[in-house]
Amino acid sequence: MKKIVAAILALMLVLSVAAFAEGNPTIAYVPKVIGQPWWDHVQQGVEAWAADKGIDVIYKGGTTTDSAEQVQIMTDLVNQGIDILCFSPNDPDACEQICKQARDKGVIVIATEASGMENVDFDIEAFDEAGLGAFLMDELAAQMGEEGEYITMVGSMTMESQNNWADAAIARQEAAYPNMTLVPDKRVEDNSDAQEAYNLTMQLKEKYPDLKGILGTGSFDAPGAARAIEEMGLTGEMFAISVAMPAEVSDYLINGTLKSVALWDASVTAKVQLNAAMKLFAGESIEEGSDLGEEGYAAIHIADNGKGKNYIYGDGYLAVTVDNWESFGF
Amino acid sequence: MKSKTFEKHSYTFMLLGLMAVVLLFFTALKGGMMWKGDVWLGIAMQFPEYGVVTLGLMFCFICGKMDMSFMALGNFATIMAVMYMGAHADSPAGGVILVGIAIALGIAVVGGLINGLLVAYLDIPPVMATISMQLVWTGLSVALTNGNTVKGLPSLYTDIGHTYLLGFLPVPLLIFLVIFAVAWWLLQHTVYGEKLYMVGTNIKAAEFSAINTRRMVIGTYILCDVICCIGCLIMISTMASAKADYGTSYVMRCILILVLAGVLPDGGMGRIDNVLIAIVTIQIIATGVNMFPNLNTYYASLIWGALLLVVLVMSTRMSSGGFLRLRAKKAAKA
Repeated sequence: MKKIVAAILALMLVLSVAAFAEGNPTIAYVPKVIGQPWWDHVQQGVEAWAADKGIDVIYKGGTTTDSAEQVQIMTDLVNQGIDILCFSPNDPDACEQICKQARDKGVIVIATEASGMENVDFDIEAFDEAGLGAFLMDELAAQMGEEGEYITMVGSMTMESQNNWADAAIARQEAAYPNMTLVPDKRVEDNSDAQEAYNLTMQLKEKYPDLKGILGTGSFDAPGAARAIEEMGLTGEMFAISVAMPAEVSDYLINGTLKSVALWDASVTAKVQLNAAMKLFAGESIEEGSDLGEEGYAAIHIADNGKGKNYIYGDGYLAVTVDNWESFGF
Repeated sequence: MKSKTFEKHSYTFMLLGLMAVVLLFFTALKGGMMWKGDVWLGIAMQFPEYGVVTLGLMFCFICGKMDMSFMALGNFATIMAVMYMGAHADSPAGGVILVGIAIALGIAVVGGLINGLLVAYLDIPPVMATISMQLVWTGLSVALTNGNTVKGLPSLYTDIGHTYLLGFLPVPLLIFLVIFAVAWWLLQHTVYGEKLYMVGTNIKAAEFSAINTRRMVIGTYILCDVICCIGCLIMISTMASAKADYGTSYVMRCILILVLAGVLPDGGMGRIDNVLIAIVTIQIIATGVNMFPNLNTYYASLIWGALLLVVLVMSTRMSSGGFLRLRAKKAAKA
């Protein structure tokens, strides 16, 4: 019995000595959830970053989007001893405590999709609302030849960000595309349902025969509108755009009903989180216009989140077209 | 070699053995990391919230009933409590917190009562009845909050979740130990505990022994949901907010722990000390798996499942112990 105990103790000693080495920071990335296409794509991005820089990243997330599970994982990682924690919270509020503990221990904490958080070094967003709205309008205007009637579509009139995107798109049209006109209905809501988006598109075309463009926002708008455009045989004459998942609109991209949809690449945002953390780890500061080393983040913007904390946003939206939709994997 | 104490506690020894194997396994592979003080402080901080919930559910299982609604009910109760506390932010925090806790526990009593009435008086199968109630509570929570988090807890309350008494004893752990002591006393030293095992073993026989089984079932559901709610009250302190779907991943985890501990939903069997060992073992596995950069979290479930299989096989193989003995005891009691 004594021998076994002695052997175990000796083994523990050896292994614990082996655990200390290397000069790189210990980095952990905690996604909202694992085993889901969007986050698989992020994982690939993080792994590519790790291979590129030669620094290991512990990528660990819950199997459900339950915050309790996510916070437990973050707690485990912080207690093991890490230098950098990058994450995307399911509920930013639920993560404040553990982030505070992490920062008290000197861990650099970088969040994304949590611009209101207090206990982080920085939060990084792919874009701001005005930027995405203008981007949607630029894309649609190019397809419409910068002239004709259009309307905006949102999931629901109560969805704050989608309505802000639509407002920003209209502002962009008024400033840059004088030959385009917003029809009197201005905005319709499809209850985040592609079937409803289809019905609305049919009805709107009947009401406004000259309607040429639908500026959607939510991910159900463009797929529904595209089905209606295709069935009416108006491919190439009527256009639609919104944020959408590549795999859900791939048929329409291939047959040309949709020229493009808007998306941001969460795997790029994840890489930017890691780059920002490395910058802070090296003792450098991050300021307005700093280069965070990825496309769309060459000159980042910094904004106040109203709680005395700054968050970073880039110009990280991109057009998903027939040429690149397959690269996303979702 | 086989002493009487060993036979009596063979299941406990088996669980302790498994826990040692798990610890050795992670020590062998991760060495010092497993034995860092911070890691164990973390473990002591992490398991109390679902540990308390598990202790609540244990009463239901021993009674031979199932409760699927406890987390949804706990979330609804804590949402109401946080809303109250948030609305009275300018009153003295101590009083507001006490009223908030009273509100949550009051709702838990009502929820337990409804579960009990549905099962005991309307004879609805417990799983059906409590899944329906789970949907009702979740629906109410979402309707009330639009699915958003509810904030506004006084900082005095959120401090509970990360305060160490005397520098090393986490307050959640202290709460867990108090609940554990009370539950242990209830099961081992009260008439209620004795009756509970009888009802769980054979509800008909218990009825013929002049036990008011309906009252027992209702009382047990209330006890279960109140204890679960205390777990949720700890949880909202670590999360500094309440939400309709917090802790939903705990439901299966709690059931797993109980079955691992030999507390089967068939009722009438299982010991509370085994539940404690099972809770700690499950947390060690979760924390251990998180030490491997390349193991994803699904592996924790995999190890949990494998462990459960080992326990089931070993306990049925043990000629005089395990479930066979428990079953024999159950039959004898009946």
